[in-house]
Amino acid sequence: MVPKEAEVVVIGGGIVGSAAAYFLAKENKEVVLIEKGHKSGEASGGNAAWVWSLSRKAGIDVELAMHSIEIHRQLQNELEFDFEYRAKGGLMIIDAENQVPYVEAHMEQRRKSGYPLERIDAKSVLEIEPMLNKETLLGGVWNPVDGTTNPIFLVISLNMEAEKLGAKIYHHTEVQNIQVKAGQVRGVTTSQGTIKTNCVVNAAGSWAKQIGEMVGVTVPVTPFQMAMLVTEQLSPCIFHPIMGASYMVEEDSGKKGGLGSGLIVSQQVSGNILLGASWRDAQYDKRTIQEEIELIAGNALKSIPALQNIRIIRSFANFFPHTSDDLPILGEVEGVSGFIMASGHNGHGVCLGPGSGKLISELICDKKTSIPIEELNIARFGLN
Amino acid sequence: MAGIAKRIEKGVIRGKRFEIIVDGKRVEAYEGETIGAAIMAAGINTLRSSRKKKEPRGIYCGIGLCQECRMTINGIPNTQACKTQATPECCVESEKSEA
Amino acid sequence: MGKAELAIIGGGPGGIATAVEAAKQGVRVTLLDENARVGGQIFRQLEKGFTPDVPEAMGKNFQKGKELFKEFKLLENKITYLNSATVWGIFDNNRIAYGRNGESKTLESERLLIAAGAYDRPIPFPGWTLPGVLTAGGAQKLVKIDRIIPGEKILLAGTGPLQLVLAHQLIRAGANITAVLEAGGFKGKWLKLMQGMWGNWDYMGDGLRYLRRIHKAGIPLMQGHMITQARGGGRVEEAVIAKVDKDWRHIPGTEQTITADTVCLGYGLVTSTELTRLAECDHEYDIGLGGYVPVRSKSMETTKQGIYAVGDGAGVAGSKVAILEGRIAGIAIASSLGYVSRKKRKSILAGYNNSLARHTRLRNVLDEITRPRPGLYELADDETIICRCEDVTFKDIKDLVKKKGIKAKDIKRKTRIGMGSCGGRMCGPTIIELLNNMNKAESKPPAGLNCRPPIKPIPIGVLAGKGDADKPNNWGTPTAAKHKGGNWHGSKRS
Repeated sequence: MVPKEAEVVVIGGGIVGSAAAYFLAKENKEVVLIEKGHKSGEASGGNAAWVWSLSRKAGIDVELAMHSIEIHRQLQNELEFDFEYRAKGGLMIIDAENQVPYVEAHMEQRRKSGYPLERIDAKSVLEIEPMLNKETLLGGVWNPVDGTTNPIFLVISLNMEAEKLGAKIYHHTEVQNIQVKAGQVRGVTTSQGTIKTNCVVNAAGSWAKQIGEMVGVTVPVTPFQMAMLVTEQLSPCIFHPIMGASYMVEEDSGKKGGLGSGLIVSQQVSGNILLGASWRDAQYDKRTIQEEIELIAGNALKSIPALQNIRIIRSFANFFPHTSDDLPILGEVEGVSGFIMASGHNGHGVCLGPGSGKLISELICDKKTSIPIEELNIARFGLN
Repeated sequence: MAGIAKRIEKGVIRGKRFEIIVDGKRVEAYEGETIGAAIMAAGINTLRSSRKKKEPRGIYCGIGLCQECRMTINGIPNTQACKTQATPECCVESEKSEA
Repeated sequence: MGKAELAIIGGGPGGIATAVEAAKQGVRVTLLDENARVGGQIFRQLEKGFTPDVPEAMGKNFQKGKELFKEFKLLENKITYLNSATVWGIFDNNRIAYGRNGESKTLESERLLIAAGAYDRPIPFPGWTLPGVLTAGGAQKLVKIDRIIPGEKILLAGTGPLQLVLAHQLIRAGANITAVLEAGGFKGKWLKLMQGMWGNWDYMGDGLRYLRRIHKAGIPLMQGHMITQARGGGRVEEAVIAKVDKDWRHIPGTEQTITADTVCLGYGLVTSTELTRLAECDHEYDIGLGGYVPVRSKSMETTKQGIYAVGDGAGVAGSKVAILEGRIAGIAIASSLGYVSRKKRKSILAGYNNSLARHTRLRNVLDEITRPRPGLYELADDETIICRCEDVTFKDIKDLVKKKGIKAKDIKRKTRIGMGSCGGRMCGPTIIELLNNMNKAESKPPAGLNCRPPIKPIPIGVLAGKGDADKPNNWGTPTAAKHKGGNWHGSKRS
């Protein structure tokens, strides 16, 4: 049974919600976190596991990423459970001429915004990632701050610490209704009882829309299905998260139907290599399909021929909360006091989650955030 | 502890005899045997070390499901010894397939 | 893309029997099996290179298998037989993806029959991961096929008739067995056993033969005993055994240490339901039948239209039942495709169904004797490995399994149990049983670990269509790459 009252109810136990609950608990707020699924939530339970800012665009996009990366680093010292955060730098590889203009445009934007990236030649790329295909490599982009983590361990770690600080966390519990009276949030009804509260954080990721409907707010977040493959464990052989520059060229392709794909490769601390990714409009279907499994394998093999005899032990797919401008929705919704958005992180939730959690906590406690987030308010869509 | 496992002589006529190389050592094998069987018959018990605790592991399920018999065979890591037929001069290395 | 009317996954007795019956009626059958030769486990055939010098060397069951193989061979022009084909996924209820000859291929079929078999139940106890501790099935394969006796002082520990078969095969091969431990026991159950045996005289004959041979060899058959520990440095050197009560819980003070360099564990089988679960067929749970079993109609059809399941993979019941179920399914499928009239189907099935009922009666009795009791899953101590792939110990999970409402996937997320190369086959059954026992309040069996393709490890080259299974790739070990140092703070605004 959930408590009868709480100062803040966070809906969604993935990385955003868990970070918010943790930071709020640190500020001595009475927090209840409700998650409808398993420990570590949905998208946070299966993703590329990257803490990545290389491809973040100039402006609020990269600002959020840099702010959040700092929080990842701090959490590594604060949390007890080792969540395997390793930041030895990230790499984008260029292996076709048509990718070059996209890369150059991006680099120019980043340079102008004060977060430059480093262009390196093929030889330098191969020095740090010897497994890459020498035949097709043209060069790369390097970003020293990027890395990988274990988001499942991170979320579970955030949950454990939050509970130690007094937060109450419930899994396999659904939010059924949110009570609003006179433009103010009054309570949340869950499958385990009703909680009286004046503050609700919608950190429901790909289900943020359904939560919004409960309070009459249109939340323009849709599920975007992406699939990845996992190899068996190997001695260290891939040393950085690697993204193919084709990703920047292809990213728009799957959104209007069909199967899109782009290369992402990284090796976890456990030794498994994560290969990805493919995307398609599959609503809430978590199954992986034959075409995407074979497509991801084919792409990976083109870039890393030595993967030929390495075995895939499973695939997985997940939904990433998509917004039309690729930016998250943060902040209180005008007209519904106490209803705070913290969703729509697209495929960047792992990197941005801790930062968003901290910002939401700041917003609730001090009304002031360490970086300005007004432009991320839901008002920008003009729907409510 | 050599010689704990042994080949059965009665009831079967073995195929061609040859040698395989296991961690640099020459080991007897016969056509039709799996590498796992040849290794067992040579008295080698440990095929690899477990992931975190680095404890010795050998053949367990014997039918290709448990993945405990993974070795590097002819340069390919994570190859199941219980499912791979021994071939003349094939090169088998233990303990190299784990992170 | 290949096409078939009936695609059969699994070339053991269930799969072959289905193929034979369906092909006889004119159905276009494709049979896929991951081994080089059909037979599955019990009817596993010798590899090329070995010649049995007497037909009986392969055992009596194998002779029965030979009859089935003969039928199969007679129909070889009517059955497309794909050997060394590893099925890695089922999609849209009618499409199979498999790896063969270094490539991933697709087969579309109007009907699917899954006969994926079963595997030895993994039982965690202190020392079970030591080299020298094998499954009974693995030991049987070594003896029958690789022609190897796995050790000099072999201890058999388990339950049920399969152990007796293994003992018989080991004795015939000249092995030295220190003891055979039977966790249950026939004491007081002879009458029940007789009732079950009625009409199944061949089973009884076999059983008595095996018991006599064990007795003649002077090997103690210790009923109501289990192994509780295996000890040794680098390999098993001794085992601790103990008497157990009717719940298979060890009775303190009855422990004995015996010398053994090999332990063969035969505590029953687990159904291989990766494919039926991937296809989203409904399952029930019964530990006596091997764990998850697909819900089936009398014609062996699962809850997914057009998908059938037979044999040990749909409920552990032995090769005779597998063959009967296969024949029933073969006729039912042929009938559903229009090759057999309803009248003919009814008359053929009547005979098979009667035999099946007879065998089921005996199975029910045997299951009662050999059905796992709670004590089987109470052997682990804190240090005992539960997940062999990821080295997760009992200590890591023992508090988690007791938490109200916790699911297998939560435990997987926290501890990585089930995330290894074996796809959760070695730890899944244990986790489910522990959850089942600990969370007794739940009315239905706990949800298992997920099943996502590929259901068996498949090389990337094969998936990408550029596999070269025969040509080894020289992977090599990359030398420590020169890293560019990471900078935590990143570049500041200029």
